[in-house]
Amino acid sequence: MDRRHNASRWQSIVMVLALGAGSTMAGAATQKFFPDDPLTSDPENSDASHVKPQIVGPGYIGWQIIRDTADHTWRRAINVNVLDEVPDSSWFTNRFEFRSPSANAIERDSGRAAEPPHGPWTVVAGKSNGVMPGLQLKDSTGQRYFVKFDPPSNPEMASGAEVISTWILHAVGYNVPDNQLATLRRDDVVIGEGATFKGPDGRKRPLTLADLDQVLHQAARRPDGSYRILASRALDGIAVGPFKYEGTRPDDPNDIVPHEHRRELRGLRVFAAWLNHVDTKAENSLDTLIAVGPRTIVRHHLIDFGSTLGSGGVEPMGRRDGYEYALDKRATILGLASLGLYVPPWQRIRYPHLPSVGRIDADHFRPERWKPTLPNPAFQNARPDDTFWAARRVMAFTDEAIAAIVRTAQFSDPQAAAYLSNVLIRRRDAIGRTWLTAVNPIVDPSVTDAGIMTFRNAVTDAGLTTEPSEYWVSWATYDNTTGAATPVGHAEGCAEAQCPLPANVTPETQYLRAEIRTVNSAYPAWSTPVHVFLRRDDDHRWSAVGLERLLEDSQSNDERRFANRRNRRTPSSDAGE
Amino acid sequence: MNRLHNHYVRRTTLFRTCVLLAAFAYAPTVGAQEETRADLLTREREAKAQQAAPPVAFWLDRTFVSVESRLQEWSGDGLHPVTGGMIPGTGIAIGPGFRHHLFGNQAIVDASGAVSAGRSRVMRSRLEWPQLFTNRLSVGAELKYQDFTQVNFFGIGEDSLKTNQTNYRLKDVDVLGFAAIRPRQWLTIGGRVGVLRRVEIAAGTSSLSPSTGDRFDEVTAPALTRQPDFLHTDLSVAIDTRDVPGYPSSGGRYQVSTASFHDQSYAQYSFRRLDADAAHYIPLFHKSWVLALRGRTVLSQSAAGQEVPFYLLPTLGGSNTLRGFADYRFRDRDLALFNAEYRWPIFRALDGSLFYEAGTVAPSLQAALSMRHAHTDYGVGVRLHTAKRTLFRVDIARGSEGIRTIFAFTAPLGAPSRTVAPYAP
Repeated sequence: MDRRHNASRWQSIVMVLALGAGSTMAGAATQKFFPDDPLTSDPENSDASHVKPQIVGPGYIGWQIIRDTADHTWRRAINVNVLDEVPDSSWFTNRFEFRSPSANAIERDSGRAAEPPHGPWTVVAGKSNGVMPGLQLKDSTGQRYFVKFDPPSNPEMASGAEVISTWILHAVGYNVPDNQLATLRRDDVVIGEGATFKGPDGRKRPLTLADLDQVLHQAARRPDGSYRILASRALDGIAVGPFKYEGTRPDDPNDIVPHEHRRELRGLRVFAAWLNHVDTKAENSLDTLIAVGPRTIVRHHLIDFGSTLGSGGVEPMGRRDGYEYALDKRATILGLASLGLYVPPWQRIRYPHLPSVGRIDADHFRPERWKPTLPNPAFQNARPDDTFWAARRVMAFTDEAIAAIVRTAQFSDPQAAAYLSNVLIRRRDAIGRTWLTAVNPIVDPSVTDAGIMTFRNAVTDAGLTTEPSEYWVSWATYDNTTGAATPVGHAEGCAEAQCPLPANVTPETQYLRAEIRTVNSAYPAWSTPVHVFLRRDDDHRWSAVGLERLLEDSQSNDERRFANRRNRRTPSSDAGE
Repeated sequence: MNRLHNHYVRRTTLFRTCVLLAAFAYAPTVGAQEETRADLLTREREAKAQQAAPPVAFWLDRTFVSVESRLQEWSGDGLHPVTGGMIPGTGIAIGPGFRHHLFGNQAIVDASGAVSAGRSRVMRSRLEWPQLFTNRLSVGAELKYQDFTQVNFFGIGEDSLKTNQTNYRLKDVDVLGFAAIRPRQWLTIGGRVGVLRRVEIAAGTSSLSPSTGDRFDEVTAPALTRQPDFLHTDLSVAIDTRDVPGYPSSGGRYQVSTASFHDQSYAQYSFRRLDADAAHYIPLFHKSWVLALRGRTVLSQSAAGQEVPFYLLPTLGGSNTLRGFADYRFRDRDLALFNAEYRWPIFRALDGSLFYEAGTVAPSLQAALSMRHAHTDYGVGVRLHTAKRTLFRVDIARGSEGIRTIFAFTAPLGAPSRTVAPYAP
């Protein structure tokens, strides 16, 4: 493995440890809560203008799979704030948070380009090598777009999948390109001056009309002769290569959290499972340098969603995709030992014949068993608190919102739209049942003016259980400097998730810790407590300032697998736990 | 060099770690004023900024990028390396080539030479218009010099003995013109006209078996002692409905060709040849499992008093016919071959295969087709592939003459070779 990369990873770990050590020496730095907690935005205030392009190719990805070079220390995601949420950053923006986007917002395509691009188009470049031919075009306003087509066998499939996945990933908070549907007519296209074409031999040469026709020949054409295209607006800023799902970028001062320990990258496993986004390799990401005020920072994007939902890009999604890694040990042994007589269950799935959808279903979807094509270090590190965080966002999407998002794909076959909406709704529910219920689902703690702590049960809110839950709270005063908790009274039951604050706390008490256990016969795991921290401000009002979702040591098979894998290459450390 | 680099990396890492620790050790003195989370993060970022280093690509990716850019360079006009272009059994051949596009990229002129480990050599120059009339017509001409130093010969007939193995050297110059029409994407009609000159059979250079001339004579190996020049023509019709020609899972490849060789020197070795080859791929379980069937028959015809030179007789044996037998193991005027291969996925990029093959050669078509004296083999193999092509395969085949292991860069059951002389399966 690249030694510099290893060194960089070790430096990150040393940095985290050093931070702890330095904090101890500083005294004040050991404190759990700071005055500006909880941070809702990560102050990425270092200038990154010197960042250089980074190459991340199949060699690195292959090596990463073989050697598993990521840090698999079992630890809480590092970049969450004290409320266990992800602050806004160059990676992630809390757009709709835990609310569903409204159908209106979806129709307005809020936050996206004002109107779809349209011709006349000028071809800037083209290629016929690679998996799918493509063009780079400028629209009538001069804006540059990367244009992809649907395969003739599956009109509307790849573009539809890309539009839907883009919309959802943008809504949940990721940086994605502005991908829109548009129409291209052959008569509307002119070849720009200096346009180049990369042929099947990889050779770049001046683009000709024959080249253009060759590209169009491989694309699905509408009955009226026009082409439905996916126009992907060129990202703002200077591209500096993909990001890795492990370690940090060595030349970006703002990038201090190893990527496999970022909550939004761990949680991407849940969104990827929902959308069947199997191609989550590093190459399908892109960092760009953008100016923010006087500084330049690196913004991290997810790109290329052509292989999502039922689309495999140039053909329907492979049957194996989502069920096995490209190199799956168990499947390999079974395949070899049985001389091919073992037929995996995914081979027997019958998909409806909907060319614009491809291959995706909900009946056989088991979220915890879903796999991307290549192992993803951040996904492997996802713990139940990470998947809970993401599942809550998935569950926020209402049936109506999902149907509205699917409508943005403009499927001409209403059956296809109905089927895909139904599949996404049922996959969403499967995610909720699997990942939302896996931990104590206490969320949104707050304190009323009457001195009552309230909270919500995310599973009940999502309508996944009607079984009543009991809540037991143990109060303690909390010393923010030493971390010592001193119990105050005994555990008490809270009716309807409303817990009066303990009366016998001294006026000097600044912090309270509530240890909340949820008792529900259907979900024994909920008895593992959630710690909620309250802080008294200057005018003596209490407010919720922290939330920690404690996890059992070996709560699920996922964790057991994780435990087997972790610390393979790093010293045992539960720092931060 | 590597140790030096290791030392450098270790020293740099140590230095940076010290800087980091120093930064955090210093932190308490400023900690009293820095009481916010934002300050803490800022300190951490400042510490990282001090030790920021440009990203270094993983060595394998650097190699890929370098190779890719070199390949792109090579795919253009100018000098480029050449691999292959030989007949089965000669091993990997490499050499230089020179390519130049003419007439506004309409035509390509290409000259190359390649040498194999056994010192077989091929030199060719070619002028071709490959994509006329929107890829429906290609025409061109080629001048080729070949020198194959070690071609197996075991005698003629299906009962030839393995112990009779010999090897011969064949040199020739072939000048030919060719054209192919593709009225449909799946249909190709092609033809060639050429002159095969300066054919020379000499002693083979392999020390593993005697030279053909030492064990055979003009009677048992026609045209061994004198080799005529030929005017040769051929016409072929090929239908290709394979889904992915480089890694097929469904469809088929069906080809019929007829060739005639007119002896220009002695009026004694003129003959015609009819070659029919069909491979069909049957997808099982949604194309992941594939049953491939292939049948092939070759018929040689000559007028009374005419002979077919031994080096132009149809042959069996080797990676594209009977894998359990040596290259060119059997040869006679007519040939019949049947291959069956079952392929299943081991993982995404690797397939396993089981195969069974039967084939024979005979002096008459009837005898060949009866397969009464067919030679059979069976075996297992693995195929490394992408979605579009077979990259590499290893087959272990067992026939009546033992076990053979075959390494090849082409898909099995491929189309017949286009080499004019010697006959290559």
